Amino acid sequence: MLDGIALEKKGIPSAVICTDAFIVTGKAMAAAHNAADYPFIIVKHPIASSTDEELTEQARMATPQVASMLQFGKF
Amino acid sequence: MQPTTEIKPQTNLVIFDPTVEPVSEGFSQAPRGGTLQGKVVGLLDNGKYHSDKLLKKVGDFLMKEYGVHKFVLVKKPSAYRPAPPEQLEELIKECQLVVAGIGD
Amino acid sequence: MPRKELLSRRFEVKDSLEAIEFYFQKGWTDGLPVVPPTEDRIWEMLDYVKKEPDEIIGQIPVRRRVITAEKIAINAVMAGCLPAYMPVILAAVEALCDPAFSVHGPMTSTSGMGILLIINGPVIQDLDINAGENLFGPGRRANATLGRVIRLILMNVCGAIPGVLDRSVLGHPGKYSYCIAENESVSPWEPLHVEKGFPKEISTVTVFAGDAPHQVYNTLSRTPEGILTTLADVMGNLGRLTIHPNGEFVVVIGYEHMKRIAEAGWTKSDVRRFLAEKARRSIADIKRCGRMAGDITPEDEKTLYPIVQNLEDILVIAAGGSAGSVSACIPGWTGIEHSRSVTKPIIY
Repeated sequence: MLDGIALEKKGIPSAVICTDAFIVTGKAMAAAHNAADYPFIIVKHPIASSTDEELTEQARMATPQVASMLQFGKF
Repeated sequence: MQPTTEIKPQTNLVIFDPTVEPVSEGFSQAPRGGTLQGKVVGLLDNGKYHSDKLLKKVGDFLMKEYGVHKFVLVKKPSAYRPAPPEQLEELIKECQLVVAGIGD
Repeated sequence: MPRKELLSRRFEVKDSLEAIEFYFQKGWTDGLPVVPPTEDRIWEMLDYVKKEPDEIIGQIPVRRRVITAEKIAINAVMAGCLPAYMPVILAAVEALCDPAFSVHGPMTSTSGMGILLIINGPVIQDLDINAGENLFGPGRRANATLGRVIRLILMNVCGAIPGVLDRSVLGHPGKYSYCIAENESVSPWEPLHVEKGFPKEISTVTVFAGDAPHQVYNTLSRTPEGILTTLADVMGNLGRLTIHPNGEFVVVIGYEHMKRIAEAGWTKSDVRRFLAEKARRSIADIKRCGRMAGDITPEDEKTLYPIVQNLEDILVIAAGGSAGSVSACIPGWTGIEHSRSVTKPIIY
């Protein structure tokens, strides 16, 4: 989250990905940096124990939002 | 509702707030260019298990479906700290856009 | 000189009992009653260390939190501390804010670390800090309230709210309070702070992001090798947080074990060397239970994976009660590149 915020401040359009278990924590960190409304892309927790096929599916689902975030700053 | 000033004997107790709010400067998103065609995308891997795999798969889709030219994958030294400023500087020399993750 | 004003928001309540209830309702406690922080009590804390309310003691830049003397003093009153504890608390906060310790990680992590304070030097006697019987247990004001004030500061000042910026799955009881001292008066060994390069007459506090203490029993063994083999076995268990060669450990050697080890002529360095050598698991063992990815090769059965790579990452503390063959191992949080223990001098 913080890296995305730091990069945006440097003028680099960024997209942050986080699992659904950490939405509250991601929002709290964004809020601490005055970026409470900064959108981030949610994938399903946990990725650590996901299979290759599951990861591909997660990436397929996330990519349109990532693309939208990078192009328009929202999704 | 009772006014709070109604009962105010000398024995009232004044107590203090132990908490702190974050102190932060303003934030606004970087201006967007609207297209991903021909762009170089940085993938900033926080080092959490499988983050690199998932980011690369997103990178592949961005190339295949959105015309991204290529992606560059870098790994942070620690998932629990912000990326070192030099690492970000190095990354954005080559990349116009960045995808960071995966918070897990 | 006119005194500065306290800067925090004020609230008015009827009496102390209502104040205690007020802090519960606000969510500003660890779940236990707090001592109401009144203006006089807060100033006693500040005056003891000659600090102005707005003096900045530490900062957590990733959370954009600034820790002032006033906020420390308020939380110290609430925790039940004496003003004389303030120098220890200030040193502990400085240690928490040291980039090498990087408190944001361990206070957020799902692994539920506590922040262990280890006190060394003359301050142990001066403040009556427990280094003996029931070391991690209840009964001593200094240990109980020093550990507690650190947790209150993490919650109230640093934002470590359970479920938000403290994502502990289980946590452990040391997260209420986790403060010990080294039993320097009975130990034949160099105390921790001297090993870290401080003079013996200086007092220090060491902060360590640690799991719960895992007690290690061995009554029959009369040799360092026997006692320390049981300790190394606990250090190398497959369930610990990270299978990571850069882990840090606190090892508390109880009195009986300490006597036996020291009688054999072993120093803390010998203890460390033996533990680092013995605390190993085969890669096959680690893979079999799914703590490392990949297929098991014949070499994996023979290849031993070290739990600790640098000897200085085992902090050996002599402490605990005089009867009973008990020591303890406290595994640290992930690896030292993410957080490592930090020792700061206590100025008093």
